[in-house]
Amino acid sequence: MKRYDAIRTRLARSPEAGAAAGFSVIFLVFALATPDTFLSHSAISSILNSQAVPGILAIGITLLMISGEFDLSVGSILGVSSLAFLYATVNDVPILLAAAIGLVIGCLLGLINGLLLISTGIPSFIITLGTMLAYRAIPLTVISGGRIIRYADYSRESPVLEVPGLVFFILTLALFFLVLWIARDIWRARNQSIKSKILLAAAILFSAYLLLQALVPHPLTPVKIDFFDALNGRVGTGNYRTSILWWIGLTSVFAIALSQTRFGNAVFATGGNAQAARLQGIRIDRVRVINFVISGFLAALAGIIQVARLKSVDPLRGTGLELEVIAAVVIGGTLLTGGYGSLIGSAIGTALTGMLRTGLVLMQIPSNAFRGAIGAIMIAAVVINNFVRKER
Amino acid sequence: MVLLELKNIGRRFGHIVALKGIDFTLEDGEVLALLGDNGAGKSTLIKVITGVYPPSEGDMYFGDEVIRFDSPQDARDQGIETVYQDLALVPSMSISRNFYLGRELVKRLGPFTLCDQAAMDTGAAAALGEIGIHIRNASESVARLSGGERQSIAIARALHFGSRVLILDEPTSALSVGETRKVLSYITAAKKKGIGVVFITHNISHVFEVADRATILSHGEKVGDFSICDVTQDDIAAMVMGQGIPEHL
Repeated sequence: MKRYDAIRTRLARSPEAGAAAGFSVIFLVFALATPDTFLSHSAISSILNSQAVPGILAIGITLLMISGEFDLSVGSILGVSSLAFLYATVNDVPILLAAAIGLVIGCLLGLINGLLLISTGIPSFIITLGTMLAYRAIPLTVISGGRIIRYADYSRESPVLEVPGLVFFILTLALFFLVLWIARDIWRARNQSIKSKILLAAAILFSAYLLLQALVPHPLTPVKIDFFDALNGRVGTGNYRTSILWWIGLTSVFAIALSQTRFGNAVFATGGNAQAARLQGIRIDRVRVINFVISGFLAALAGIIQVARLKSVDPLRGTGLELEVIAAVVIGGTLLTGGYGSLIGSAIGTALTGMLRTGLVLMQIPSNAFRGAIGAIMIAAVVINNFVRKER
Repeated sequence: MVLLELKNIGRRFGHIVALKGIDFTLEDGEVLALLGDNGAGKSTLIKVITGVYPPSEGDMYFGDEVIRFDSPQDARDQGIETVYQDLALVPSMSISRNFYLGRELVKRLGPFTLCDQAAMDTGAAAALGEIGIHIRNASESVARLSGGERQSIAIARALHFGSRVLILDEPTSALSVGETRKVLSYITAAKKKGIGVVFITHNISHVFEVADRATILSHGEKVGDFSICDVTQDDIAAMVMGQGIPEHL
């Protein structure tokens, strides 16, 4: 009984519990209703591929929402950055520089949001509603009426990133030493079990193996990377794409940052009780601005990853994405009022919305019903989360 | 020994004069009650001392040195800890995260710095135990605690981080009788450690229980400083209500 209680409180305390339960139920319903089509690689890969971009946006939205802020402008930032990246690429800017331009623009637009917030004190809902419209004006005016910029109109070959052999060698070596460095600190930490030490040794051996495997085929010869494939190409034989790995990787990194670092604590405190946080010496304005910059950066990165697959940009790219992402984050258990939430929950919420869209189509329910279902599930999620939080 | 001294402090917000010509001293091991009606300037004065509102005029001395605080962090670095009535803790965060908020214990992981959550859980529980607060679980959310428990944690935190001056803003206003007793006992404990304590209160009987001295403000100006031995509760009540200094003083 005691053990059951402990599990129950622990579940109730984790923001993502509701989303995980909802995800399981909906998954089961679809799996039982249309087992042949829903449980196929093509359905699962299509869900994950389509949700990688909103999933990456959801990271920034979650951080902001936990710190008590809103960002409605991510869809527009994604549009502007996608355009800047593709425009630079088709104008023969080196591909890495073109990506950097897109990312810097994303950061700058996020920075504008943040600075407007702290200098005017207007709610971020209003500010980003304004910048959502203002940023959207950029692609609408740059790309004249109904035009689409296509990579294929300018070049037949995918952009290739050529890494000199020596640079590749040094990067691989640096990565290996980073693993060793982290391993050393884990090894030295107090009360480590034998099991974790064995796991650690295995991890080091595995990374050494990967290092060798990466280096042996190209001993100091230049390495050519298809830039679009690295961002959003097919992995293996199925239809799964690398964007899924970016989504998972970025979610993991930011989830660790949010739950394990001083910055993460500051984010929770800023949204939970901004005055108390300020009086404990946390620079709440800086936390807010940083979160807006992160959100802008991630919107730009998601945009570039999307361009890598679609290889085109139209002036309305990213429109309406912000609301879908906010719905997914709320389903994931993050509170609109701030101070409480989880990136794992947001990832589950994003996967859930994608699953719903594909699953309803497979059940031959008209695709327009999807929006109704998302709306109903979001409201149900909030009601359930509020109930569970009271139990906590 | 004088720990903190303010000379001729003034603070304006635009055209509004919130504080004017305030002289203020605090000695170590002294409990000073800061009294005054609503709007008298008590909270503003405390915020000047803690660096939330830098003074518009006047000088502050800490020990023998002139000092200027431009942020709450500056004041904290000098060992001035404040417990605000409703603003002490973040309810949605755990006890230990609140305890170490802004001063997290960390561990290195290669080039990265991560919070040492286990050390903070045990550290917070030990520090709370030291002043007689026993909690079930340091990773429990503060939202589940009573007002008195929250106030206790905030005071324990201030004492733990080596404060030399402890400032309490209406620490007992929302507490039950039993909880109030406890909080007053923490004030006495802090005094014994040689810490200078300033506390704002509206409850004059608490002043007589724990304070050594009372400083009374009215309309942003100081009415006077009185040793508790020299005044009666009625004297203080009269001064707080703006009736001036009674004739026999």
